[in-house]
This record gives sequence, structure tokens and C-alpha cells, in this order.
Amino acid sequence: MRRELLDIVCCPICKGDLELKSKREENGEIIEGELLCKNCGKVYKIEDGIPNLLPE
Amino acid sequence: MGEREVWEKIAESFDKTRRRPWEKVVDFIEKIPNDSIVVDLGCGNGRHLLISAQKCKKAIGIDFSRNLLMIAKNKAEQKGLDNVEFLLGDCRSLPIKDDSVDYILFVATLHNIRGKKERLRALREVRRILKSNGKALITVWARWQGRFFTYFLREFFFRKGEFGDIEILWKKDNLNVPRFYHLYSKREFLKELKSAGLEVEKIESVKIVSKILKDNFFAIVKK
Repeated sequence: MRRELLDIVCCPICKGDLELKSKREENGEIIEGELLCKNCGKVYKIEDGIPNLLPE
Repeated sequence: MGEREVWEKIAESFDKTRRRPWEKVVDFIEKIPNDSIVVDLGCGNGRHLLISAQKCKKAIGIDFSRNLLMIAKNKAEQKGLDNVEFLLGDCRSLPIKDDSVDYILFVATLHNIRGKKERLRALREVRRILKSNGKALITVWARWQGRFFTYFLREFFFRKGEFGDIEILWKKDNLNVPRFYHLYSKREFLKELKSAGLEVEKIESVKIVSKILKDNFFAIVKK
């Protein structure tokens, strides 16, 4: 995913804004990292450039 | 086996049979203005998502199968597209902000959600994320298709679940995995769209694989 996606994505459960913690980037794409919900605190992983935003 | 597991398992086999985009979906994409943000719900192997990315500012594919998303992502990389994003997500509880999307493709996906209440949740999510001047194309399989005649005969006597619910075995590549479908009547489809608060701009019956009976309903909706 790219950083500007944060303008559109949110927490699937509480719909709060997400904060990005990038661990590995390639050509502007976040390959590995985490998305943290600023509202409910839930953490979503980014793997192979794909954020797992399943409401589980 | 859970629904998500089913799609993870058949992803590679499914991709081989879903190469060609649907003409009517392409017609819809072609009319989308270039500066739009498009979300494809249940994007699968990306056959319509990647066309949207070629046409629009940004395209976001959402699917609950990681395997299908990886297939779609590899295709996007081969085409050198850098304006397309892939999210592992659930249509019933979307990770997308309110009023943030110009166009939505929800093609051949709603009918795979088990339970009327759950399908309504997904339709309400469509309404929530759509901008006030946005539009969504929603397609479902129609109920009265010749190929399902024996299912309905059986269902009439031994019904499990809701009327219109069927399980279809994915037989290719020796997988034998049952996929869930809810087959819609036109009236029922219209009613669900309306109860989710969506305004139906156009609805039509379309032939996709069948030669005689129309086997799909296509609706263009706004909020």
C-alpha cells in the first residue's frame, strides 16, 4: 500500500482513523508494517504490501 | 470449511476461469470520469479492477481471499500499474471512510454472502462509503436459471437455509469444494437495495453464460 491510502482507509470495526507504522518500503510502497487504530487501538498487519483489514 | 477458506482453496483454479471481463461491466467503467476513486468489492483476480485502474485516478480492490489478492496484485505489477491498492477485507464491515468513494463495483459477490441480514449489512456499507454524487454497479445471479432446476425441485421438498440458497461444487482441478450462492429474484434484489437505503437508477436482466434465460441482474444505484 501507499501512504496516501490513509486518506481513505479506516478501522473496519469502529471506523476510526489509522496510524501507519512502516517496517519495510520499496519505491514508495509499504511492504511490511502495521496500521494502528487511533480510536480503538486495534492493530492490523501489512504483509506483502497488502493490509489485512479483516474485522477479526 | 468456512467461506473464506473455500475461496483461498479455489483461488488459483478460479483465476483460470475468470480471465475475460464482463462487457457490461467494462461499459460501466468506461463512463467513469478519469479523476475518480473506484472501489471493487470482491475484486477476485482483478479482472475488472485493473481496467478501472487504467481508466481512473485510483482503484482499490477489496477481497477476503489473500490468494486471490496476490494473483490480482501480480497482474497489476506486470502491467506496471501504480495507482491500484489491494486490501484484505470483509464487505460487511469495510475498512473505508464514510463518503470517500466515487464509484463502486460490486460484481458477482453479494450473492456469495450467506444470510439476508449479512447481505443487507454489505449493501449498507456500499451506501456509507459512497460519495453523495457517487454510483455503484451491483450484480447478482438470477434465481430462475435452467441449470439450477434440479436444485429447486429438491429445495421445494427438503429446504435448508433460505429459499434461493444453494451450494455449487467447484469441481475443476479435482477440488470438489462447495461454494455458497444465494440466487435472487428481481423483486427480492430490488427490495434489498431499497431497504439498504440505495436509490435504484437502473436495473436490467442480463445473459452472461446462459443462452436462453437471463442469468444475472445488474443494478446501478446511488445513495
